[in-house]
Amino acid sequence: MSDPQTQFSIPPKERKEWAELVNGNINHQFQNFVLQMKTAEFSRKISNGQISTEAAVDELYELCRKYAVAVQSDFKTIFKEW
Amino acid sequence: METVQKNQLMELGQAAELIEQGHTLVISGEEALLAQLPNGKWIGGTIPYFYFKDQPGRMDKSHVFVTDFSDLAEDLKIATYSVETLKNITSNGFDNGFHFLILPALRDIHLSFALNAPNYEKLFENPLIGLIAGVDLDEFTDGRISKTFDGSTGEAHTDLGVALHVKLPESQAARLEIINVFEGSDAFTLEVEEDGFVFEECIINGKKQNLLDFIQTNNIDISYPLVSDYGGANVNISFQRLDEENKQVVFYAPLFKDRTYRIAKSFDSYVDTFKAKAQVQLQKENRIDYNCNCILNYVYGGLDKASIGFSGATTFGEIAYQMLNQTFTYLTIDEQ
Repeated sequence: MSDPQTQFSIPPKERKEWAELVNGNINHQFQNFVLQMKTAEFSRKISNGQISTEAAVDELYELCRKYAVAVQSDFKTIFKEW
Repeated sequence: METVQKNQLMELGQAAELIEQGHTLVISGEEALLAQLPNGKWIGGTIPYFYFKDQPGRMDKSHVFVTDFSDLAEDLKIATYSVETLKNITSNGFDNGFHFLILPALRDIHLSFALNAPNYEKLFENPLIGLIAGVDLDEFTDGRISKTFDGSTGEAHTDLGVALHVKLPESQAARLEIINVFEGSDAFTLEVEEDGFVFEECIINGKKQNLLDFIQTNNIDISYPLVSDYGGANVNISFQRLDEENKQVVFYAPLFKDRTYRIAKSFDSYVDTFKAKAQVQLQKENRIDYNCNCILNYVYGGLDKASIGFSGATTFGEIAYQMLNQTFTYLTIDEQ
């Protein structure tokens, strides 16, 4: 995936909220369609052993980096500050 | 909020002129019209039903609906896909951009996409948006087949998908969103034992029973879709028909065995419900670059008598990474 130069940052991958998101432990409904679908999928696939938490976080992080503009308000709710 | 692209119904000659000027277009209209267009950087699909921002929608067989992506596309590729090669669509574009796919309605490639798209590689790296082509509903019932057009060759296809892969500058990101007026009700839950489009027995409220019998006994209004919750995104599956002879129910999109479905809550007015939902959702958008809406929303929602505030061509199914039904779908561009 490309690495756009963006003025909008997202929280570092080390933040624990990422793992909580992909495991369904943070009950947040993203505004963005693809992130809604992906977080639901991650939670299901991790439960079924089809993907590791680390791999899911990597994938979610990349998507959020792409949609950094669109996820700002979601992330203010989830991460508060970064 | 701005509708950026040229997204309008026009005379065939105007569309031909845009093609000859080198514009990058997606064109919807009657087969006889699309077949007259010159070769160029366009893809198309048949459909004669349109909705408009400032007036009620209509069936129109003498104009074509054109979406112009010229101002967005830094580069592009046009490609056709068969049942066998369609899985490659999400790998064949550019590092940053979007894929616009048109498939013919209810052909093998449509059904294959609906079943298999969730497993395509790199599915979510860039938006996969598009539509299922259609025809006059009366003619569809009589067996007329929709077509896709590869404008780069001028060829029409009944069994191939056509795609426009668009490259965007690194400073932009394409984002696909939906506006779905339907929400699942608490009337009943439905699950299936195998993925598919046609069902006899289903697990309804935890009990295995014939779906057709259940629908008829409980007077279920099948103009409303089944809805499944994907992390807050409601994904619809529309009823195609009740097959009394075979005691089956046929859907326009597949039901998957690992999901729970609910019949949608009813409402008084599709147009009013859509406008209320759109007003909230679109507050966050700066621009809309493309939109489409389902023929079932046009028919059941009375879009031939009212406007939802957008112009577009209707579809026999919406492509939004996967197959959707009865859903308004749009593409927007984020400036990074």
